[in-house]
Amino acid sequence: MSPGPALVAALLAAAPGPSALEALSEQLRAQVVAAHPEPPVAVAVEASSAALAETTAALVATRLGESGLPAVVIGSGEDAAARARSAGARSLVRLRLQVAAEVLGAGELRSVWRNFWAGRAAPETGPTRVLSAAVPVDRATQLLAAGPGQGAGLVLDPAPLARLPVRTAALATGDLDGDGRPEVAVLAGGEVSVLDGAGSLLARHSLLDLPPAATPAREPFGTLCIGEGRLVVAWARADGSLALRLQGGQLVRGTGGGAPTLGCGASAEPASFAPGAARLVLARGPEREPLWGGDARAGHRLLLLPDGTARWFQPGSEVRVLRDVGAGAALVSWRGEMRVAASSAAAAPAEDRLRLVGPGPEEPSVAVPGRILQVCGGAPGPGPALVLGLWTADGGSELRVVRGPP
Amino acid sequence: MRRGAILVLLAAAAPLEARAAARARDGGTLRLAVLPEVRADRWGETPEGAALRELVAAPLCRVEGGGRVQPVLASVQRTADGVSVVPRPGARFSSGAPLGTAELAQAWARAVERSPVARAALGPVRELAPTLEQQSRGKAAGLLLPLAHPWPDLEVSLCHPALAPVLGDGGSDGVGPYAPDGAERGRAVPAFPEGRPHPDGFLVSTLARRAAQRALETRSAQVLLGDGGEAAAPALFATYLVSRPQARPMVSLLETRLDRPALVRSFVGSPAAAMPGLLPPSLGGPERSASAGGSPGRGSGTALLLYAADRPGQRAVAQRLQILLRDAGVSLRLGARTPEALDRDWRAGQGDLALRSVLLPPVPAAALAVVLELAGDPGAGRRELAGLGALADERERAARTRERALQLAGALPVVPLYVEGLRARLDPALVDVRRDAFGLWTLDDAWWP
Repeated sequence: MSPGPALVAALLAAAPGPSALEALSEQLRAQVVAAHPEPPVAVAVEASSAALAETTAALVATRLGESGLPAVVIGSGEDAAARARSAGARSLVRLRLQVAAEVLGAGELRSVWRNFWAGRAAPETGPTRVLSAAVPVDRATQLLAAGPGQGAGLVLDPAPLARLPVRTAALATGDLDGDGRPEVAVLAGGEVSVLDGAGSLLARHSLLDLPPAATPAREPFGTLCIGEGRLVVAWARADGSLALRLQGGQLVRGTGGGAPTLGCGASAEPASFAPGAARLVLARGPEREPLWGGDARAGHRLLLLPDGTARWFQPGSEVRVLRDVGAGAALVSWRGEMRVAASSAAAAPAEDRLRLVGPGPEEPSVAVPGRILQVCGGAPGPGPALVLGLWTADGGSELRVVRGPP
Repeated sequence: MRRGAILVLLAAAAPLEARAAARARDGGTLRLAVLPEVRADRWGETPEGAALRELVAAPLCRVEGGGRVQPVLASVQRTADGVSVVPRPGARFSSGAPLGTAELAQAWARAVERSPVARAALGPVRELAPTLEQQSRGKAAGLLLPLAHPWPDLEVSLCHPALAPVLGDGGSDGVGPYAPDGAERGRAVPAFPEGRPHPDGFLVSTLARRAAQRALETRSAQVLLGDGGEAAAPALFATYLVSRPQARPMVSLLETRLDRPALVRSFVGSPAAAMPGLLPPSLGGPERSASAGGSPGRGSGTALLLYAADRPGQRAVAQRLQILLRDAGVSLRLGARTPEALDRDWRAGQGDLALRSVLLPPVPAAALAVVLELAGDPGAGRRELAGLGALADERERAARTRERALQLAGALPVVPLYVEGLRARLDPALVDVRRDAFGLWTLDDAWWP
């Protein structure tokens, strides 16, 4: 996956003056035209990402076309000359790009036309001209060069925080042991586990002794909340909920519990599990349709609807409808403002995307391998960070962390 | 009021995601096309039959691909004396009766009468028959199984589909995510402990191979059982030739003539592999046999080979063995049986040779227990397994089991022939169909966007 064309276009348009790639393409165009190659010309570009290679090749080909040299884009590789010939080209521009403080483009222009009478083993002709150009790098080029999963705003930690053999049903972060640092609580496979910031298991508690729900949900589903040193657990396969405390390395049952909630803490709204389905139904208010889930905090409410849309209620503002929002979405406080961290609504993607939606322009999304089913702010570690509950194709799951720049 | 109006406007302006399905959708009918031999496998002894049968008769627990045991109908707790199997609250047979310890004990008492795999799985239980008999009348919270010797792999063995609890002798009253609704249909059970399956029901069509393939291609079926398969998936459905003492000379004649890879290629078909050792390659058994020494000898006489009539592979292999022995001067008669009758008749002393196909548990020691059960010497089997069970470390136990399997190969009246994997194909649009450690598909999680 590469950054969306709309995003790249927006970045290119937002740049003052011509972008780095346009300036580079212009220099290369001038050099090619000056060599008077035989048309049509094939353009092949090799770069650190497919997106950067494709964009540059398209730009160079367009500029050559505007100069009266018809050009086609072909893929790079050892057999570029053969593919240029099959594409009907008589000349080939072959470039390699390097992105650092400057964008450097270097390569060659050569003829790929073969005289019919030369026979099957016609000698290759050498380059007609060596091409080289360099311009200062800009943000759009850096974004393209970074390739998939490396959005300008969000970065996925390379290693999972934890791997589980079963799928996650709910996720929460918060300080359970009073040490001032957040722990991660995860509900999966009929038990709730608490992990430290490094992903090591601190304690676990089985839920299999809870009375079963009359109509349990097939998909792993539940809610977890950490507050005032308590972990409140509601599981869609059990009747009722329970509160746990982390004491002496064990999760011990405390008093209280209650029902599942939308969000946690003072803003939490009471809810119930829809019978037999991984859906949440609010106990109060006009919105009574089954939800994939949602969040509530500090005057904000987020409702995730099974049609892949989300309703974001903001204080003193109109309701915002967000499209393509999956079941993994939450309200997160991100650099002082409330945002929605949202997965995609795609059906069982091999690679999901997480994006941050806020009042301003949307930041580039980050690609995450697996299906994002839970999103939770307040991940352990430096800078703003989110913990994701990801379902993997083998039936297990991973906890992964996505961070913003510190 | 104003807020509502704005919401409606915004929602109308935003085109909804047509195929949004970050969570499973409920509804629809799961359509399965099965070959006649899969339909004939009433007790789910083949991988395909087991995958189909699990829709209406779930196993006690599931061994995930990574080896973790996940409770489905019951949890297993270790006690000082053995284990206690505790049925999960809410587990009910399709007839409505709750699954209790008495029902479980009765179901297992019947299972050991018909299945060598069930006998092997419960083999380490001390005084098995009286234990089950006694608890089939009680109402304890857990079924107590005292062990005759340490057996760390018991939990994995108890997840075998052969031990899926079924009420009565009919075989249709199991505890499944679907309840049978006639012979070809099932309807989702809302109170199933693992939750109702996503489709509202399933529909089975029994079709010839070409028709079933066409049904999958045209998407009138979403699952095909009995054709296709993945060579890389675990293959644990093992076929052995077992013999009586008087038939050992004939087995020797066969072994010098037997070309297992050719047998698999010509008469079994993929996904299958030659199995030269007592354990299949996927459990660390040898992949190539040591070359048989000496020239093929000749013999005389007649013998009766029992085989399962409704398994096309077994029939073809039985006929091939008949030809090989005829070339050696032995007249082999073939006795076709139903799988249940095959087990009963063989144990009653009928036949000189028999083809036995068993779905092995996915750990070496538990698999060797099944092989020893086929060998038919309970005392020797128990002595062998007691030594293996005493090794608490899983890797050490597995390594020692492989070693013993190699040493026992020539001594047991059990000749390994080949091993098969699940023959099945799926509509690629199906989501959340996974393989368990037995190599079976878990179809009850399936849904489609």
